[in-house]
Amino acid sequence: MANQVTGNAMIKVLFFARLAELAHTDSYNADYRDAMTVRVLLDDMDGKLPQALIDYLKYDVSMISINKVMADWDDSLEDSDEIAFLPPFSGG
Amino acid sequence: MSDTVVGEVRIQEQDFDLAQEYRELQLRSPQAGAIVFFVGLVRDLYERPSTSGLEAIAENEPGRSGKSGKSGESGESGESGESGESGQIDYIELSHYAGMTEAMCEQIVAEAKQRCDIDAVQIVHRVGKLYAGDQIVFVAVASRHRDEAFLASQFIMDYLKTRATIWKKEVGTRGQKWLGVKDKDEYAAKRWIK
Repeated sequence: MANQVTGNAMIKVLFFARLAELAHTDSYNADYRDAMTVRVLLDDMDGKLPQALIDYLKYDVSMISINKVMADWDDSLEDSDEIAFLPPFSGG
Repeated sequence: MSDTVVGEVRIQEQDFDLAQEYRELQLRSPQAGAIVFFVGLVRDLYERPSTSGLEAIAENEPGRSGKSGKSGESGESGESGESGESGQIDYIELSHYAGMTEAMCEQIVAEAKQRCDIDAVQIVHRVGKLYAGDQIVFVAVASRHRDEAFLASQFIMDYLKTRATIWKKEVGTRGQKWLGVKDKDEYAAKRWIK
């Protein structure tokens, strides 16, 4: 699925590991709008990215970071933020 | 307790040399009376499937792999109910979130410093495609006292496995499978919670 690219305020979304496979991409540019939270962003992504990815993000365990800092689903987003959806870790 | 801990964190594809890493840490910690290090290696068998982790449920959920469109994932559904480590891996593939992984490791080192009297830490974690017997991770801690070095190295490894933005995929005779946090690793990390 092709990335959505606009010249307006945007959020950069990153996917890793299993999530990148489900998304068929490791990054996606989403339109930013006022009072946006991570949860609202996920709703906006629904229908634009593969349903398997959306289902995983809604129903399975994943964490979120905003600008490389761990965050919560209801945290507010700013224009040009970098959001990453993080599946369970397995380093070491 | 030491005022400052010199921590070096490297995430890299290339292999590391144990003697060189040891010497570098020794040079950075002239006051140390002990250096403890741990090396993680790639095993040639699949990790034991988690019996309660949501990751395992996701792996085996009917229709999940079909939606993904990844042909290799279709083999995962056969793992449900398996209790052992049958099947050999061809290789593992490690990926990470560049920039955040290093930051998370630095946080882990800082927390280790708060808990233990340590002088310096060296962490090297490899990413990319690795084969059985390959070195994955190197964690070394220098301290004036060996018990503090042992304790800190164990803490760092427990947190590295459960807190750092690193992901591992096994590829082998049973297809491919992304690993999640294992129950025993989560348990090991939780014992440090104050």
